[in-house]
Amino acid sequence: MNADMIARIRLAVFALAGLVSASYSIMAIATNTPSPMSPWLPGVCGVAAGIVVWLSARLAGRRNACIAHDELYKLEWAKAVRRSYWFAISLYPIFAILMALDVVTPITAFAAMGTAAGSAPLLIFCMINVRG
Amino acid sequence: MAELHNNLKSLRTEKGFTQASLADAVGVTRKTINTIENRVFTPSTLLAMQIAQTLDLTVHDIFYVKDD
Repeated sequence: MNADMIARIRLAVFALAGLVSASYSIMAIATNTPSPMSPWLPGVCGVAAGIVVWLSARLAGRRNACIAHDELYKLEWAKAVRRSYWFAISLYPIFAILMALDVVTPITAFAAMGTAAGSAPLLIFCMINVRG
Repeated sequence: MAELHNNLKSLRTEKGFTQASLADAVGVTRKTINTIENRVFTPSTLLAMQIAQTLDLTVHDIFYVKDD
């Protein structure tokens, strides 16, 4: 296990957790229900992603873990967080319109916005990382 | 507009380093070295100096400003 392997594992689990959350959000809107699948699934995927990244860093050793979290990673993560912040802010007017048009109920909007906002930094990080 | 360019790829190969071996020597991932060479990522002063030190060069040998 080396630093590049940690980076690859991190990318894979971020993508998986992000896709699960994004799918939950899209399905909540499509079916207009706050629980289109188990409401525990996005959270469990997020925690599992954290555990997998932590375990891979632990197995690779401190030096490899530090290398995997180098300044390029920090920059890409900071970019992802900045963009996802504006994405999360933009969800408010979008869902206000959807609720005003009775497309989604407030409780569905709550579930969809939460999971969409949660998936954003993970998926944006993956896009930045793959493109870079 | 002034832009930061570099000769890292040619100097690295001249000194017998691969991207992976240089990355390992300065404590970053291979991708970080690759993105510096392709001018996708601008390294910090600390990292630029560590790269220069590893290659036994000065920062100015590797990085230069070019007016486009």
